Amino acid sequence: MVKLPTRVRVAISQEIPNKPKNQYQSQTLWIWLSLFAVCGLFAALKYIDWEDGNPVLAPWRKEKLEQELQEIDNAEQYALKAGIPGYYPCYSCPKDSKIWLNLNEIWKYGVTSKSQAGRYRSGLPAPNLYYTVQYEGTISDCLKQEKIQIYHYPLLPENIVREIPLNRPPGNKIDR
Amino acid sequence: MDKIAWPPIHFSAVLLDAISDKAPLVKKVETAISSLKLSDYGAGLKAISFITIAVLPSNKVHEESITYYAGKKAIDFHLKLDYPTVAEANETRFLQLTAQLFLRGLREAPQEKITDFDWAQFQHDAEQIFMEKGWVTA
Repeated sequence: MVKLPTRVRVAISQEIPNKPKNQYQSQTLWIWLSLFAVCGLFAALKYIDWEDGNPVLAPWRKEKLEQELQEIDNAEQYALKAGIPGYYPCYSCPKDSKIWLNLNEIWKYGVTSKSQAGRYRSGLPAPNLYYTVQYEGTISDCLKQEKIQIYHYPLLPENIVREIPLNRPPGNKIDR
Repeated sequence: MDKIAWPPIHFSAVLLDAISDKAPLVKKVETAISSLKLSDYGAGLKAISFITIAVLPSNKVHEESITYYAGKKAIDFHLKLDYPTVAEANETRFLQLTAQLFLRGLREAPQEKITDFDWAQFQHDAEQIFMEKGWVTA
């Protein structure tokens, strides 16, 4: 399904003409206190249900928990690769801040899950990179795969042939 | 480090690794359409990012979306192709699928929110380029 979020800017005027300042402050305080009380009551009522006198999770909390547990199972280990030959940012290079990558060479390994899908929503770190899904599974399994890939990166033929081989992919600042 | 220059119309891909050799092909579509200048169609849109997705149907991480950033006057498309179709596609077929997906994105964009932009003309011009390349038919 296509989502179309809307952004709305709200301008708030801070000037209230013909109104005593202390009265305005008092009213504002009461409004805030009331809001806090309502929110607190609402939250307390919503998180807990009662069954036969026993406290249980509210249905919406149960549902949210199950959804979030499922999201943890729906993770993936990915690689960002060079879509065209050229210079790319390098965080693991000993001296330079850029590195030449040939077509399809690895720039970075990473892990994401459904709940983190917004990670590259507004674009990949560099314009000529593309994203490949290398492994799908639980977040724990994906983190293991990511670690294996990062640790084995120095042995890749594309890295071995470099004058100074890198210890990890150009886009990985740390081992994880 | 120098600031990275992004093209106003940018293409990339999210593909399963088994078919990742097709990903660089989206740059051909980007190059073909780079002759279109967004400013010629109005001031309402300054950047388009288009991501072609082809992952297994069971994948829950990558969903379709079209997001408009009013502040940046930028629009991001994340649209899906059918994985088995992409897996079987040769280069020409993949380019056709990507071009058609881009046109679908333009049709489904929130055009009513981006008023200072001639969507009809832009879509027409993009379609013309794709037709010349043989990626879409009349």
